[in-house]
Amino acid sequence: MNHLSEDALVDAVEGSAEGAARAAIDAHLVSCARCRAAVADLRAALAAAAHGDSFEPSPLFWTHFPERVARALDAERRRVPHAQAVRRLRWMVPVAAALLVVVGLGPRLMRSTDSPSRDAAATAQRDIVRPDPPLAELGGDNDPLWGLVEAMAEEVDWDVAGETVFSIPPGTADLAVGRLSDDEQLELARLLRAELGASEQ
Amino acid sequence: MSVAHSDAAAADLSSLAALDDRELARRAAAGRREAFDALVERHQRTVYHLCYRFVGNHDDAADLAQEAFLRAYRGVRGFKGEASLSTWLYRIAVNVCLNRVTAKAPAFESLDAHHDLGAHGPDPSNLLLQRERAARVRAAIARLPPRQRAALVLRVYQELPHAEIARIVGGTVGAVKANFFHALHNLKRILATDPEWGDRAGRIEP
Repeated sequence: MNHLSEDALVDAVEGSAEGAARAAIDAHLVSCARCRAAVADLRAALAAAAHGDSFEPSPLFWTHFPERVARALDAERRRVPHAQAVRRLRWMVPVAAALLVVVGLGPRLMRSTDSPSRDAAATAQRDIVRPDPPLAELGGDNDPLWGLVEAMAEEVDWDVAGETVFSIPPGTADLAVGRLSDDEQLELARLLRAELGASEQ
Repeated sequence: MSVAHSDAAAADLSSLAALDDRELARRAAAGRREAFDALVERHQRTVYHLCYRFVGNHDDAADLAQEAFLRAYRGVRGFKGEASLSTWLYRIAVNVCLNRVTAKAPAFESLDAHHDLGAHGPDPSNLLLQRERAARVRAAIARLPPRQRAALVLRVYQELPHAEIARIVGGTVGAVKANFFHALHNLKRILATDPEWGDRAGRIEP
């Protein structure tokens, strides 16, 4: 014998079926003790559920709740500029890191890629692991790349950055570049040149 | 605040109270915070009680209700009025509750939390019995899987039709009815294993 579906049992408990569907449910229940028992169980559970009343807070709670929500909204609004600063930093960080790579490694990568030798990539690889020259040799008042990094760094709120987003250990960018394959390093140099060319226009 | 300002604010609140939900939502979306405040005042009870049914204690219910209104405020520009505002608010509140109950087991309030025990009604012992039954039912409901709990709460306590519940929780009417069926079935099973329940509130056979 087919029994009533879960849907039909719910309809039977709630008396929500109409017309032919209701007639079919009623007819089945007359002849099926198992479904009658199931309906009785569900009705008992429904009656039990009705005991689970809610809790009514004091009238004072209702008076203060809208103010509580309003305060939370105000607090959230005050946090928005902070969140916007974080969002700005999220794109500035990789750009700044890329620029640091360019300042530190760009000239050597460019030198490598300019060479017609088939060993250019290998030369670049050797250059990357060589100790960096002192910063004074790379940047300075007349170095446009360093100037660009300085300009970007001025826009960063370092207090916010420190507490929220990042701290990049020294040498991270060098390490990352060192792990690239020869072809990837050449492609990185090409992309950075293109990017810098675009930003200088 | 001057008397004149106070009167103006009261008049403004009074005029807002006369507006329907859609108009208040439209004004809130346009940046009128007082319109949103009026919506909070209007719907706070239903949202709070819905949350309370989910978590079974006042502190969490108040936190969840607040979170639901914060989300509503953030999303009020997206309210297009296809559904009623209460359905929209229910949907937000249910999602907030579902997220919470899957992340954290609810802490149930003891009977002591109902500090006004005996303050209403002529028979404190009957009241105590009712409260105890209610606490047992809430504890049993809290053990239901979240979607079954949502179906039960929205159907039994909020008295919403299955189609409306389907819109709120996202799903088909059939799925909602199935969840409701299993919620009742499991509720019966859980209460049947509670020896105190049968003695005090009419036995449910295991």
